[in-house]
Amino acid sequence: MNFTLDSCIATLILAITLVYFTFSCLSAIPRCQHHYDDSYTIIGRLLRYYDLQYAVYTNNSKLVEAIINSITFYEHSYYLAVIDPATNSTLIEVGSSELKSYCISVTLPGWNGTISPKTIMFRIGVRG
Amino acid sequence: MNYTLIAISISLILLAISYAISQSYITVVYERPKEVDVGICDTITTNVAVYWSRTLNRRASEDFLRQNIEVAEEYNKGFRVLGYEIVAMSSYTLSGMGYVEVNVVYNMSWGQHNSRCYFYVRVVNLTTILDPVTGLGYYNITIECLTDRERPLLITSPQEEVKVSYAISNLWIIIAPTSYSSIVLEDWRGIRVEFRVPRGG
Repeated sequence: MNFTLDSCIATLILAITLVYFTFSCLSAIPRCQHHYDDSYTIIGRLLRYYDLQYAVYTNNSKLVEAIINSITFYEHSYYLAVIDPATNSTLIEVGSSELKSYCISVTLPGWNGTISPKTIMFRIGVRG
Repeated sequence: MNYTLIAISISLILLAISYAISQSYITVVYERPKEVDVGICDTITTNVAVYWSRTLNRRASEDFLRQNIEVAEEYNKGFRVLGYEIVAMSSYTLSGMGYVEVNVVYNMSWGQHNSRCYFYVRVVNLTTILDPVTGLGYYNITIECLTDRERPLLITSPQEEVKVSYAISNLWIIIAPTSYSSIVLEDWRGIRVEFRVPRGG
């Protein structure tokens, strides 16, 4: 009887510890987040030369592609969409929409002496 | 009691391992780089420079700057202008030279950014040519352009009869009727500069 009680207590202690151990291990596993933080930096640098603004506000998708291709590595893929926040309509969409990396958004207040917000959604990542 | 002691020992080891794992958990913090804020500030300054160059109304341009900042703050999460100061908002229309500048200092959470936007035009050479067919006189003006973003991407003129073409480096050629006493030019951002045609040209 003593052995039975001993084994029961031992089993209970082990069970509680194992449950706690499993939960603590699961919470410690980092969540998988495919994130390419350079998207912000690239967009920021592009905005300084005012070529991107010109292309975005003139709805010139070919020029947008040319500008981004000029600064990205050929093995990288990107996705850029220009959205009008007033109507939530997509004005320009270029690049690969299959990318799963983190998508950033930057809204430009206006262009050519007018207030006309346009949101640029951008993500960049390695193809594959 | 032996089993209990063994179970307690194993439990202690497991607790120690779980504590070690929880301590090694890596927190990934995504920072918003200041390049984006700088890009937005420069876009705002350029937009204001365009507005200023077309209206030359200081008060309206200051209101326009405030509106731009409000719109940028409303739509860009994380973009916050703590304060700003207009260092320069100037426009010169001189003989053979035109200049427009807007310079704003933005105080951001990460520091200060001096955003400057200007468009400078200077006449380098001017000759008068006569069209043998129509008998009309034209100026052939070589101008030198300078902006805060190296050489201009494109220059046009809102004046219909003024033709602008690219020469080399930052030199551009203007063909304009001799009836024009001043020339208005516009760069690819929309900033307008006016200069008077030099006398005796």
